[in-house]
This record gives sequence, C-alpha cells and structure tokens, in this order.
Amino acid sequence: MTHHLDDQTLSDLLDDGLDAPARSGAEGHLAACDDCFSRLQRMRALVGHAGSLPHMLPAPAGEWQAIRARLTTGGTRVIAPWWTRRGALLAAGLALVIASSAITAVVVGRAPVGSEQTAASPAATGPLTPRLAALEHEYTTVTRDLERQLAERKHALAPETVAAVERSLRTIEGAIAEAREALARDPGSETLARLLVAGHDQKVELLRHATRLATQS
Amino acid sequence: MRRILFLFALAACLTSEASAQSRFNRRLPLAPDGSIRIHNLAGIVRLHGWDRDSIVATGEVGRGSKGFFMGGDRNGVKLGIDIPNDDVTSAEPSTLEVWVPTGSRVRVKSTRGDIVVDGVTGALDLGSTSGNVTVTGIPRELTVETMDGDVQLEGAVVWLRARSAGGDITVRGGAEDLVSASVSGAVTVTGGPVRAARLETMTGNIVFEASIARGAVLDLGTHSGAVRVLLPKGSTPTVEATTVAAPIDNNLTPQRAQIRGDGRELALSLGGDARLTVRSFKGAVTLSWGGPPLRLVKQ
Repeated sequence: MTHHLDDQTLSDLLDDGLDAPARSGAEGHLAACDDCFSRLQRMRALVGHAGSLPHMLPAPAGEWQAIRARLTTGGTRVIAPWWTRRGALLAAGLALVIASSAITAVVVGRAPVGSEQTAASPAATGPLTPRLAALEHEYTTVTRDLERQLAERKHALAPETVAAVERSLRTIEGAIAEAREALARDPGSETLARLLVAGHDQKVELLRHATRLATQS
Repeated sequence: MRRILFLFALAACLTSEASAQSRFNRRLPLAPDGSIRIHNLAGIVRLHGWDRDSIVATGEVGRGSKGFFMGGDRNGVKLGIDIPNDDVTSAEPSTLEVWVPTGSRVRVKSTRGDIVVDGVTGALDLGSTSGNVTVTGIPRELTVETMDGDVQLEGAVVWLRARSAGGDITVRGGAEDLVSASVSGAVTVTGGPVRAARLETMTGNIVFEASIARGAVLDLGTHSGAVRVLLPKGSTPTVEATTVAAPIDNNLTPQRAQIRGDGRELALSLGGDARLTVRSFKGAVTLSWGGPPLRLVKQ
C-alpha cells in the first residue's frame, strides 16, 4: 500500500467534506489499508475530544502583556492566528489526547500493555482484531473523558434532558454490547465491525452534544 | 363601588401596560450575507428569509424573562430573549419572529422551543434540546441538532447534517450531501435527488424513498430498526445489503439473499452507476421498486 491518504483527505472525510467519488475512493482505500484506517480513527476520536472542550480558555498569566508587546514592536506580517489553522488545531488536540490517554500504544497497532481493564471495559467481553481493539480503546478513552465532563456539569441540564441522554446511552450501549458479542463469534465480519464503530460514533456524538448543552447552560 | 371600579380600571391599565412592554419590534441594517445569532431558550423562533438588506425582529417576551436584546452591525447581529441564569423553568415561553436577508448565515439556539425556518438560502445552524425544527426552502448548508425534538426539511439542501437522540428526522427533497443520524428516532428521506447520503440509527427505522443521482453513494446502517428502500424504477445502482440476524426482502430482482449464520447477504448490480450499502444487525431490510419518478442528475 504505497499511496496513503493524506491528512487533509482524512480530515475532509471526517468532516463529510469530500464529494461522492472522492469519498468512495477514500473509503475503498481505507477498507484495505490499516494504517490509514487507524489514522482516521485517531482523528475521529480527537475531534470528538476537541469538540467537548470549552469554547474559551483563560489565557496564561502575563500572556496578554506579551502579545501586546509583540504587536507594538511593529512590522509584523499579519497572518492567520495559529489556532484557526486546522493542522495546528489537530496538533493541539492530539497533544491533549496523548497527554490524557494511552494512545501511543494504539499508534503502533496493539493494545496498551498493562492498560487498566475494568469489568465494563470492552476488552473484558471478548476478543477483537487488534485493529478494532485499538480503535475501541480510543473510543473508550474519549467516551470516559466526555462522561466525566458530563457528570461534572449534569446539574446544569434539565431533568428531562438528562433522562433523554441516559435513555439514549442505554440504547446505544445495548447495541454496542450485542455487536461485540456477535464479533466475538465472528471476528472477521466487516458488517459487525462497522456497526460496532457506528455505535461508538453515536455514543461519542451524544455525549459531546450533551456536554456542550451542559456547558452552555 | 366607585373605589372598586377604580381598582378594576387601574388593574386593566397595568395589565395593558405590562403586555405592551413585553412586545418588541426592532429593525437593523444587515448585509445580504450577514451573520446572525438568535437565542430564545423557552419559546418558538420563526425565521423568514426576505430580499432586503435588513433584519427585523418582533415578538413578545414571556413573563419571568429579563427582556429582548438585539445588537450588532451590518455584518453581524445577535438577538434573543434574556432569561435569568438561562433557567427555562423560571420563564414563560417567549415568541420571536425574525426576518433576515435570504443569504444570511444564521445560528439559532433553543432549549424547549420549536424552530421554524422558511426562505433562507444561506447557512443555517439550528439547535433545540426538546423543540422541533422545521425548515422549508433551499438552504445551502443546514446543521441541526436536537435531543428529543423532531427535524423536518422540506425543499433541497446542498449540505445537510442532522442529528437527534430521540427525535425523528425527515427530509423531503433533494440533497447533495446528507448525513442524518438518530438513536431511537426514525430517519426518512423522500423525494430526491440525493447524491451522497449516510443514514444511521440504533433502534429507529430508516426509510429511503428518493431518486438518486448518477455516481451517488448511499450508506444506510442500523442496529435494530427496520430499513425500507424504495428505488425509483430505472435506478441502476450496485446494492449491497447485509444483516447479522434479520431477513432481507429483495423485490428489486428475483435474486434471493444468501443465508449467512442468522443473517443474510445480498449483492446486486443493477447497472452500477451508483452505490447503495445497507447494514443492519437485527432490523429487517426491504428493497423494492417504487419511489418518485427517476430524475438522473449529471455529475
């Protein structure tokens, strides 16, 4: 597999920014290329994580003074701020994910050695292919972060919203569990793998949505 | 008696004044592609596109709200109803009706209120927790997110992203690029033409009954919802359908789905100028001819 998909293509695929033929071509490549598939899933997990971050963070002490000083030196070429550039955003987000998870183990395509496994963790319920196991680990990391954030801010949501979120989470988790059980019996099934990933995607999206609502409230 | 009448009259005046104070009508100039942010957490938002370089907002502030706010410049306006601590339980619903230039980029946020939009051709980003969202027209971009509210689009859209946890998502019309996902709500697409679509549910049903463009890529996936695909006669996609534990009822050709474990597999090539993929864990899949008249779109 020599012509890997570049980051921009993967990013556009993630954002649904590719037209139909390009998307079809990229998906065809992904079906056969573990490297690119793994990179895509890392990006997906990253975006889910980044999307849950607060919109504004307080600047470090003294940073504004430093910025003003740089601006007043004059002659500086005006360029787009680094935080508006996708690559920088991804890099910043990736740094966050790396800092908060065992993602480096996923990068090399195997489950993290000595990683914590609880009774509820995916690996406790059955074997998956290494690629899928790594992917699930990433989803689990992102999901746990989002769940933690949501738990901290849940009081800001209306009771009926909390009930709706919990109801949907139970539905999704039931579907994920069924897909995992079926995969344990049929590890080679692409359909099951895709359904499992779709379940994780829905869970991340739901948690991200709920967390954002709680943050905005 | 006179004193009682006086008190009644005074009460009537005060009520009338309070009501008058809660109504508003404001206008600001706005560029044809201006940016607008609208907040009405506890009430309906009606949004209309019009061919004028201005924005007008009218409505009534519900009891318990602080009031209506609106400000900005020609490039961007922010408006809405201010509720103490954004606590929707502390305020009665407010109504907000807004006229914006058709090409505007509009973001609307609500918690319990419905959002109804017509005539906007720009970009729309709409979110309501439990309210329904209805869009009529041909927005260039449409992003909708609800927790429990239903989403309906009637018209056509170039780029659509609709997501709900428990609400139904219904698209009646065409879409260049469509992604709709609901956990337990139904996802329905009718009309067309559709060039690229990804429809996903966990337990909700999926209905695709739309014409498809040449080169279209359609991806339908569910855990346990029923999937019904009705293709217009003359459609010539490649069809791949797979279930883990559910039947596939193929009425497109005489070919029967292959049994694979508890599930089924079906691969059809009706010509191959588009691709339809259906994946289901335990929701039954039905493929039939039907739908609207075929309208092929050149790529």
